[in-house]
Amino acid sequence: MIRRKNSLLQIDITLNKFYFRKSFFSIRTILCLILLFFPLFNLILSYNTYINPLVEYHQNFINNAYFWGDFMENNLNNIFLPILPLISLLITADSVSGEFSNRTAIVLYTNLSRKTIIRAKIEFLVMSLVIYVSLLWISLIIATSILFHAVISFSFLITGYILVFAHLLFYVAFSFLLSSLTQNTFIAFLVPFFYISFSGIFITLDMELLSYNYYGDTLFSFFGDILSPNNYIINDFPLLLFSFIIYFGLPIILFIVTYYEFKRIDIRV
Amino acid sequence: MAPATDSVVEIKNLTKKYENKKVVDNINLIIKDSCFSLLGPNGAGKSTTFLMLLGLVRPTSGNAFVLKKDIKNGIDNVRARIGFLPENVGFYSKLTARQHIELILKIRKESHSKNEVETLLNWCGIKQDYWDKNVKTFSRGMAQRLGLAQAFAGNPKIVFLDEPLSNIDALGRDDLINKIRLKRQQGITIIISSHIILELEQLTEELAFIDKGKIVKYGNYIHLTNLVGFNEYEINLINQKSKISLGELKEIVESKDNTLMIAPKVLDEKIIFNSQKPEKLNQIIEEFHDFSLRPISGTLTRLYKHFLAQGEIS
Repeated sequence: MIRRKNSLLQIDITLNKFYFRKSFFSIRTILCLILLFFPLFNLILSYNTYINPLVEYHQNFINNAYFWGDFMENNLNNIFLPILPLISLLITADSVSGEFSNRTAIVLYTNLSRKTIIRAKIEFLVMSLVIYVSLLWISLIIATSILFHAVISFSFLITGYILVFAHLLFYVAFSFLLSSLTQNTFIAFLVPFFYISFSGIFITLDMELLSYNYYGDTLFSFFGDILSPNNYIINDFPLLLFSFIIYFGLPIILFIVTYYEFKRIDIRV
Repeated sequence: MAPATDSVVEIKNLTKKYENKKVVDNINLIIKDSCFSLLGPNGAGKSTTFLMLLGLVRPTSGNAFVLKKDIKNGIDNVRARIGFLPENVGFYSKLTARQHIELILKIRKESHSKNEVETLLNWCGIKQDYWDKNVKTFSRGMAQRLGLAQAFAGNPKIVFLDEPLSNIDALGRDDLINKIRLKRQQGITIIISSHIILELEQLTEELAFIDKGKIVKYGNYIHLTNLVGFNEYEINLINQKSKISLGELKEIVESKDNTLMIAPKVLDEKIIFNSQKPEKLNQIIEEFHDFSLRPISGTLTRLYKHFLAQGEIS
């Protein structure tokens, strides 16, 4: 039994090494890195115009205005220029469908069970996302210390990391579901992209519950209040609870649906 | 519905429909440890049958067992013992031939040697200069050879080859047939689907004709030829190091039963003769591992056309 577990782990490691090697130095990775640092450059440029290195900035300013108010607000709720979700779509959209269009699927799918392949791909995507978000956060910490000679508080950093990671994971899971079940890269890229774009329309039409961003916005406000020194009173506990469940649960549900539904489709290349 | 004890593959009432069109229609087959050929025209249902046996396409009804495992639920348990060459094999364009074989070996086996990779690449006939080149530089024929190497990587028990000769030139086909025959001699069950008939007769032991999703005829190659009255056979010397010559073999056979071979002619590497009892003769020949009995060249095509003439294959 232990040997089987080791063997499964070995297969996962082999596949993930293979997926990382495949994606390393690819045009897509370079594009993702450019997109990743775009919000950071934007932030640095906007502050660089009036920042005074002689002034000691208050920690509250660094945490609430600079990090939470600008960086997080712009990246979590920006539906007009969804830079970071684009990274999710770029790394995911062809993860399964690309295997079909390149006729490579069958080579792997005949040697390994579909469950193993899907599990390894989910692991790869989650690890890729961890790497991208961590890179962004490390760069942000470095840039902040250079700009302000200060650091963002750990509680803000970790909360922001979790919110952004979950946000991007949702688009990874959504795109992955479509990539696996439709075997079509365009659908896997465009449908989530339009979904992000329609978020504003959902809110305008009073259908905000259909927008994933709405739950992110609710949690963003909640954590923003919790982390700031002001007293926070929960006004709508059911909505808050529902937002927690949807925001963190939906990506996992989408992965589970993909994992089980992928077994049922016919693989023909 | 348990599988038959001596079968490698057992198919029971297997059906696949696409949009109400039956692509595979209620087929039943038992494939034993042999080289089995599934022959039929394009669109007969050969590839779909293979994909169902590999657990990649779900049957609409019926079931099948591969290495005693149910294709609907248990196939994952034996996947590492099954090799497959798809009709249109695709590879990761940035990987080299060596990296592809290494990947498949890492997946199939806990450990492997560099020598094992090179033996496979050498066996499949890819020139050494190309082992470390990206697969995107490969011709279709070379990619097909690499596909064959990955199918046999990791010593599978059973290998499915879907149209293995389709991208290979005439000279290359003979070469590949010999390579596949060597693998068969190592005890690997080989299941080939093809619409290219001629070359397969050197390999085929058991066969089935499929058309419009239905099995038209199936059975032992020698038995079927005998059944329709094609009685010309040959005994081939397949190991040049044999201690017994063809002439000596002829005398041994005749001493056992002189009615088995009618008007035998001993040539350089084969004996040609007629026979009414090829199956009994085959039992004797099988004891001598350096020789093989087969219907004479062209018989498989004649057999295919025979069923075609009867309207059994469209």
